[in-house]
Amino acid sequence: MNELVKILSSMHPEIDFSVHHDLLDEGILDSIDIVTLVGEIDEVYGIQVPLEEITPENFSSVEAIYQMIERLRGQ
Amino acid sequence: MSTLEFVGFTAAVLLLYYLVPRRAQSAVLLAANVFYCLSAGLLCLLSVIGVTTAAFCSSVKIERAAAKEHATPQERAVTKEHATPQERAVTKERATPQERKKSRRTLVFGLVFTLSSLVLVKLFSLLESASVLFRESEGGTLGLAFYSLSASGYLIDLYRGKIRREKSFLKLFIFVGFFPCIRLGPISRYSQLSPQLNKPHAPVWENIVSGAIRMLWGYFKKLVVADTALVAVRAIVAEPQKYGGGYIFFLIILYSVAIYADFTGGIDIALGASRMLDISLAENFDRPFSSESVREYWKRWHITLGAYFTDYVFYPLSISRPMRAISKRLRKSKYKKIGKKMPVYIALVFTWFLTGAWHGLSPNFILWGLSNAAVIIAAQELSPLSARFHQKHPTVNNNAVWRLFCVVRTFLIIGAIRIFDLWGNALTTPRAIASIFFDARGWKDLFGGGFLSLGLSLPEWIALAVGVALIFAVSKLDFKKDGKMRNIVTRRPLLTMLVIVALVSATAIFGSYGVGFDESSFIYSQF
Repeated sequence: MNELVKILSSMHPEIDFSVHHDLLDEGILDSIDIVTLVGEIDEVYGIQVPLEEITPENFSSVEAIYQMIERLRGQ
Repeated sequence: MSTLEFVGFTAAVLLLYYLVPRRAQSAVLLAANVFYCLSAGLLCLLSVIGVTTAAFCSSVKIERAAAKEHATPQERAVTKEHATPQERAVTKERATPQERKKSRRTLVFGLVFTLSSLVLVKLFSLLESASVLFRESEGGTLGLAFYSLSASGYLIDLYRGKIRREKSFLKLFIFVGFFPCIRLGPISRYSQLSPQLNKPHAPVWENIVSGAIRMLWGYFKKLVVADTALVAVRAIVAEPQKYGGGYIFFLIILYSVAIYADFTGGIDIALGASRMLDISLAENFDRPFSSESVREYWKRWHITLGAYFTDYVFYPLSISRPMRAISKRLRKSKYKKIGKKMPVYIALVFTWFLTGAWHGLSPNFILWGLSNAAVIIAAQELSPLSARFHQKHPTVNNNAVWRLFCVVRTFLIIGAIRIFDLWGNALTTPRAIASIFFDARGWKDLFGGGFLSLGLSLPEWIALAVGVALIFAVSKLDFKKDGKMRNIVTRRPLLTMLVIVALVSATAIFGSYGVGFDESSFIYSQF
């Protein structure tokens, strides 16, 4: 989880990710951020996020993103 | 269909819709779609039928191929709409590479089949004037750019296992050719719109009143603000040699106002009409001119087109297998930084190229699209500088003056790019923009009262300014999100009547009428 927060903080240093829990509705993450994040997840965790996993639910919060990573890691 | 004809037509549809037995409401919508298309010409109806037929025939094969790709029949029950991403991911593993290839081929064939008429029309439009001000709106191709995207989105969602196939051709036709969306969109998703079209609807007074007010508001924006501003826009565009310097700066503001009032007005009419039918369409705008960056602006302007290109072009391309492979290889080399950015930037440029091409294949629209990509990429590249600036001045983001500066900066950048729409010769736009900085005569002339030579009298300029101020005030109240405000207007009969009378009178007194000022003269209906 810490690694994920580090990645997100490097993309948006001005955001405190422990406070924000609706990253899409609050306009913090957009499509460019999501694709950048998918690349970082691939590099850091060695997980390729498939297209069907790119859904608003999976990227709505740090917890949701981490759950998706854990799930994909388990497969 | 002229403004008054469309109002009369919507009223007749509404009456029939709520008078017939509920199970026959779909038939009323079907008849309304056919009648509306026919009013634009037989070719328009045939075009909607053609696109629906293409989507319907392709969907049979796509569903069959996707079913093989996704799951066994038992598993298919959970791979549809309510399936979790895990369930979908697990079932997808069952397809062999050959089956996946075949499934993809079927989708591509279906998309080519569904979008071919749009591509052909775009190719033929190369022969016309490339300026949005001087293009003829063809009855037969009316709205093709909108409903063919809805139809192709339906096929992609079907392929991805997100929806079930529509087994009734007529129901698919009602979705593809839903009359309020034909002309200007919004580009609808099957999963959001179709269930509403197929269920019975009881008349809800609040929906009818708020829908009617939204339609009237749309007509006010279109006829009072957009069409008045366009008179001056046309005058400047017709003589770029004569009107330089300050006139071009004024044009950037004026055309931004005109296209906003024109497009949002048209969308208000569409959303108002469908709200009266108790059908909610996706919102297409979220106060775009309050954006503090170009990137934010494109999340707020023409939202349904942006979402279409993001979901169906940008994501699939940026995380495609070849893109990932190249990015990975670069990340491992000395070009690590390039490897990180490459998928996003290539996908951005391609997506914006396609967005430009959607508006028209002529160089000015392609340049418009690529300019947007260039500005977004430049902002991304400058973001470390911006981060350093904000680190030094951590409170600046809460400063109202700084935020206003960001809003004005975004408005002007977007406005300057947008005037690529206006001249068929793509080189005229950069030349015109350069004149803002070098043509002092134009500035002097404009401030010396030259704006009165642009086809509008002083009272017309004042009416336009009041209209713009009113749009600004209403957007600040934000009726769309704030249900309370809407309730205040719709639940007090006296206030409702007052608003309706005020809107009808203002539109009747200050609106632009005459030849060319019918519904088909919306700027976006030419795309």
